[in-house]
Amino acid sequence: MSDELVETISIVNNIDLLNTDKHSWLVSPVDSPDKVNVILAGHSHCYAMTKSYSEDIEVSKKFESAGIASLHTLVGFDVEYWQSLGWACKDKIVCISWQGNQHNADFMFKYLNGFDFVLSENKISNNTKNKYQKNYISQFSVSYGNSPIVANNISFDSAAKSDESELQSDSFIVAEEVIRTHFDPSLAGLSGIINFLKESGAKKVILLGTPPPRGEASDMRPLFQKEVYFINRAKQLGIDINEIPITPLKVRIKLWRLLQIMLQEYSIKNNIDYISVPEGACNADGSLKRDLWNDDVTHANWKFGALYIKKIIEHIRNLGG
Amino acid sequence: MKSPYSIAPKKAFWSKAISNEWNPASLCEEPLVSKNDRIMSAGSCFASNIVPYIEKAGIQYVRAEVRPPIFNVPPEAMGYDKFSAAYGNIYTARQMLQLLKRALGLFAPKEEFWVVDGKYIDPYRPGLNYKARSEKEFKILIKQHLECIMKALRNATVFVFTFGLTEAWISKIDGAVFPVCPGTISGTFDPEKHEFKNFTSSEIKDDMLEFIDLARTINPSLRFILTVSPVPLVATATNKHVLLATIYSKSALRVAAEETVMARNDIAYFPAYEIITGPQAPYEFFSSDRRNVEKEAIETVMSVFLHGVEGDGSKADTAQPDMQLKLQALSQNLAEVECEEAALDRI
Repeated sequence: MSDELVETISIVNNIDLLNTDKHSWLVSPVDSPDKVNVILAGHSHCYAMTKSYSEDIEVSKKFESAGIASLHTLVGFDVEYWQSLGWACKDKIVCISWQGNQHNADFMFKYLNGFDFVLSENKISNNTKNKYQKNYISQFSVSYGNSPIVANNISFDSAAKSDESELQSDSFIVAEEVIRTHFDPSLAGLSGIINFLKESGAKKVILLGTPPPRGEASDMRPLFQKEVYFINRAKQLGIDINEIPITPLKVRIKLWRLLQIMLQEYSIKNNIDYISVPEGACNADGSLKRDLWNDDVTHANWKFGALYIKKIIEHIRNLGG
Repeated sequence: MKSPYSIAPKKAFWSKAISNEWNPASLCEEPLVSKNDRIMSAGSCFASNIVPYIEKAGIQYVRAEVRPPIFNVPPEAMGYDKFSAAYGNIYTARQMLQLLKRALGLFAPKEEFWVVDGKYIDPYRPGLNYKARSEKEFKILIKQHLECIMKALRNATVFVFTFGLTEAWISKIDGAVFPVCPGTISGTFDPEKHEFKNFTSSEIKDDMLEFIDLARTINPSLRFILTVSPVPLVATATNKHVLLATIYSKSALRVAAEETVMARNDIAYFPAYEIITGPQAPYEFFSSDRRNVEKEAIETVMSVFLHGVEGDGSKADTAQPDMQLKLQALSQNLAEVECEEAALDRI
């Protein structure tokens, strides 16, 4: 840890001072920073959890009893945001949401016959597991009992299987490795943030999963229609959004599953915990349940957030935190 | 009666055709292809050099195994995606025949894959960047690859094959031929399973004829153009000097090419080898290592290949890549907008 950072952390010990024009505590239910035990932070998918605080009184009580605060940004995740988090996280448990829209950003719309891939495993690869065996066992024996299966069995096992008969006909099959390579840059900053938070004195860093995709084309198109900016942009590009082919849900779910696996691999490599999407948030096919959709194309709503808060609190309680 | 030489054309005499007035284009009296052709190619490294020239000339190069251009990833290694399907370099006639037999379901090598560090390696394309992570994935990807080869053969009007080598490494179990010696790029060399083979000209001819006959069961009107790579061997496993091994190899390949042409209709020989290595060729056609071929040489070869090309030409369809870029931009906008609006919602 740099001398500058040490000095900064020792000076700034009041969370209230970290509210700026750019970044602010949207939930800071406790009247003293010392009562904050857990900080929710990171990219937009954790807003569902933050919102559950204001939507459900039972959830707000959970926030308060667990001492959960959340740091969000109004302008984007610039250096100042992460520095703010670094200042605030000493002796706290930090739950990070990282990206989670890669499968939407790059693959929502279908090109020609589209593509598909074989998701070879819904467990961490043996190489990764063996290399980080100690961390793996301690981490997942807490969250998942003694099962070596990392993934949420209910979400993954019953999701679309990747044998040949389940692949999209006429689509081009790409190697999973291609998609991993494509997703890698979006996760590149995560290790740096994790290390920074550890060096800043965080008691524990936990990585959170991100919500699964939802809906086939017929479900998605009405949501596109609500996005004015998006409609205008489509017009500029000469695309009729009523006609845009959308990547089948099965493929989007697999892409999301792969992202969750990659997040889990990052957590193992960085010796931190990972908490997957809660049981009960997904349909049998792995998609997000209808009542958990936010009124947009990609995010989950506060009810999803409430489920996740419950799971986070249970995880921390099991750790003795 | 006068000697037959007395009525032989100018091209039959070295002094007239080479010493006094050398024009490489004189080697091809008739155009080999037209702009209406759809060209598929395979062969050694040299075979990949011709592809940009073909496309620049407005001739369609058949590409049947193209990953959608939506992935921001480095291209496949070793030119696997440069050819009509992702088979990469094919150095021997036996290798070409084997590939078609696999695509037709007539041959399945016993050494189907190697597992190295948890990844599934294709022994017949050992340098692929993006390796399968399970046996299931491997088999599905291979099946698609072989189907793409069939698709390319059905679609092409001309198949250009460049003979590269006579030397190869084959399986002692079932005769499967590897593109490189196992253990060179991946896998492990096992003298119990792998052995050296230096094909003879008659074996090469037989393999090529069998390949052509099989290919014509899929596409009866497919024309073939055979060439021989002028590039000397990197190394030889014959225990002879590499220069001797090279000259034998190229000689055997040249004989095989000629005898294949003589044995069937609609097969032409294109003299890339002669243009670059013949006594008339400029010294500068090879770089200082006397192995790599200079760009000037390739351009000379291609100018001859495309000499007299006629036809309306087929225009490349640029609409699809443009639309893909637009769709991708829109998709990314959607994700960005979502997150920005979510932030606004929290003010």
